[in-house]
Amino acid sequence: MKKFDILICGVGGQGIILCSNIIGNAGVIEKLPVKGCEIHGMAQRGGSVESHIRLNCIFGPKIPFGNADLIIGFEPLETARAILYIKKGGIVVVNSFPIPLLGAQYNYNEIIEILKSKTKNIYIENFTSIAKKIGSVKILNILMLGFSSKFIPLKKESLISSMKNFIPEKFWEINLNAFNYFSG
Amino acid sequence: MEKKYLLGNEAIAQGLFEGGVEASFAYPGTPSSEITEYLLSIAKDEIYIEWSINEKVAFENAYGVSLTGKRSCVIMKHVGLNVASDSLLTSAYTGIVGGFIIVVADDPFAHSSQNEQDSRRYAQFSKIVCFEPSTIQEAKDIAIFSFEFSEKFKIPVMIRSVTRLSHGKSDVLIGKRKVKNILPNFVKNPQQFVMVPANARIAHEKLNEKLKLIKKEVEKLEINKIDKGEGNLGFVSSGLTYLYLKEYLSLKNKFYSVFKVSSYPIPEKKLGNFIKKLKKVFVFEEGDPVVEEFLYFCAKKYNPEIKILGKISGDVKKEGELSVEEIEKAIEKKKKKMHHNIYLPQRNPLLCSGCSHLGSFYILKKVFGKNAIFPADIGCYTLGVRLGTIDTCLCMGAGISVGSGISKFEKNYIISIIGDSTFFHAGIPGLINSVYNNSNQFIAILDNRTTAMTGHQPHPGTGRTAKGEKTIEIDLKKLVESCGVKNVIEVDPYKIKDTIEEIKKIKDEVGVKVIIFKRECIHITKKEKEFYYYVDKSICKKCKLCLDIGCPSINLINGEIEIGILCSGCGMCKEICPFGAIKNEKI
Ligand SMILES: Cc1ncc(C[n+]2csc(CCOP(=O)(O)OP(=O)(O)O)c2C)c(N)n1
Ligand code: SF4
Ligand code: SF4
Repeated sequence: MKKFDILICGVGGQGIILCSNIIGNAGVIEKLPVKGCEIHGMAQRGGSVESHIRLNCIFGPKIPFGNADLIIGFEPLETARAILYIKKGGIVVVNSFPIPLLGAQYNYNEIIEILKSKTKNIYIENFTSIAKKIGSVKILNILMLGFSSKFIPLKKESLISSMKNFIPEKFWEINLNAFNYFSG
Repeated sequence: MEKKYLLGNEAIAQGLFEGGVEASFAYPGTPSSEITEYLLSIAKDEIYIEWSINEKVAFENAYGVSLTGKRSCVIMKHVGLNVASDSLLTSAYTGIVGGFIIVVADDPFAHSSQNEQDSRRYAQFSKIVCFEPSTIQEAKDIAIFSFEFSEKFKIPVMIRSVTRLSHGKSDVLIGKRKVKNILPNFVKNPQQFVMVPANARIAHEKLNEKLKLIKKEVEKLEINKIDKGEGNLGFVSSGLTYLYLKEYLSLKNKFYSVFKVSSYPIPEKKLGNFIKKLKKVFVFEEGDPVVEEFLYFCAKKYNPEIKILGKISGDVKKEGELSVEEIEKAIEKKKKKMHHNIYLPQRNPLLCSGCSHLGSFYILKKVFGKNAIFPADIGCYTLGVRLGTIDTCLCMGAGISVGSGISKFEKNYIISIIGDSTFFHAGIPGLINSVYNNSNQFIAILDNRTTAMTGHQPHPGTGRTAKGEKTIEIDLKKLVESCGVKNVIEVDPYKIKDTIEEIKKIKDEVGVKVIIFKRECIHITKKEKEFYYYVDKSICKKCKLCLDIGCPSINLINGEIEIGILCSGCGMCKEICPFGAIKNEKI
């Protein structure tokens, strides 16, 4: 397997770190060298969050610009911010549900256009509304992970067993449903 | 052997654990806090672990443990070392007994700090040893090895991390813990441990002798390594920049020689021989040009003709942090486009919805008006700069003393702002000094019952230790009173109207007046949200007075005042609304 760089971005509180830990650990389960890092500004008080996961990687924790194979964007504006990381032909999965920003305006349509101009392999979906429909916004992260899993060069079983390491047993069912929503 | 996917900080903690640490002391600070938190999660019963009141106290405790022969460590962020520096500098003179490690996490780019200082300078300044890991696995290995090194030379050893290493992640090999089976034994030795001038002079000589031996030893260390390559261009790197450089070279299919510096002192002979055959050398390191300055020294002896390219020559930027992109920019002198064509607004960190600090700030502005001066401090409340109630922020504890200084000349109201954890950390001497020297100011202690900014660690005012055990709770009001303050009031920032009246009563008293705003941070209250808040649009007159509270959950959206889903139900906006348009319903 070649190196595979994944970037997850969004806003504090969306469950990004958990999602990234699940993928990273699944890589370790498959005995791959895995690197990664979290980037969040002061204290995560609703600020931007960026998490990098580098499967089969022996270099540093941070993906260089133009090298990400896959971006999982939990929020459109944050995905636009992170789009510099995508490599030519990389895949972008983006949640179309925006999280408003205090006192600032931006053009949502323009942002989607930017994303589309960067890659043809883009999947835009209102994952937040699906998450609400099938349970709660709390499973947004696992829902998006489930959707993106077909692009990630790891076995589904590894991702699921990694997930079980992080999530208490009483929440397994609802999270497994979210994970399998798109493949079921 | 088992592998785990660990945070850099967790790997350091794992290394300390495997290396047989028996006591760990720390004051929280991003990006270092997870080291203690991980130790608490894996070794609560095997290791003595505490959150200390500040870094100096933490340092001295750890030093004390070392004097009993046991292995100890002290953990802090870079600026913490300023606080502990007095103890650090002389601890190098006395030397130590049990292995003694100082873990310091630097923050290039000041992701969550007030400056970008480089702790390697402190290692040099104090004449101790510093190791700088390049990978997360190496961070763990170095933590284990540092104990041995520290005991071999009886010297404190610093491990320097940086944000990207501390908050980076990697697969890490997990090993077994090895503890030396020794009985604690403090051996009296005044010549070594009592630094009166006569002893200090001898100790300094001994330290310099020790350093000679250490300089020989670092020549043999494998962590200072050379990756042989081709050509007469070479690279020297330290810390994480080694990996950035390796990735850059691999992306460009280039095979130059790379020297990885991981110890300070830097091995002079090894580095000197490396540059002997080169015409040009690039230096990459996070922070100050420490390695680069040493290269100039080496070059003089080993290769005076060599061209050194780095921060001093202006080829690498001196501020912020490095990355693969920055290395590419420095080497190829290309300006690569690293920004967007359209404006993307920043998502700045904010005080949480219902944060008690919002109430405190609102009240202070109402009572003291526009011209009041707010010398302040560091904590979540520093985010109040947006609200106009933070006028200075220098370092922990500075607010009260800066306020005291300002009060000597300014005649406006002065309200020094300080958090509870910060007050314990470094505020108390400033308060006493202010009382002793008859300053005229208010001090607002924002007592939210936790160290919120760095992840809600307990402190002496919370009545809980790091391990969650009950302990004596220091009573802030009594403490302040015993410092000689006559006007001390304890108020609730959620009760806006009452509190405004309370403060007005002491508004024009002279001397030092202390207002303790007591209300838990919303993240540590165990209570579920009781009320759901909404705006009754038939009553709302759109006066927008409720927006003055600055809560991120109450906004003007499309001409209407709306309360968002993150509302924590604190009720402050309801209290402010003059028309009763904000209502609540029991959930
Ligand atoms: C010397 C030093 N140590 C640690 C830190 C990291 N730090 C910043 S603010 C803070 C404490 C904040 O706690 P508190 O004063 O209670 O305010 P809160 O965040 O709870 O509002 C700490 C530990 C620092 N900036 N300087
Ligand atoms: S974490 Fe606590 S203290 Fe910090 S902004 Fe949020 S509510 Fe306020
Ligand atoms: S009650 Fe009002 S001030 Fe309090 S959190 Fe909700 S919107 Fe903010």
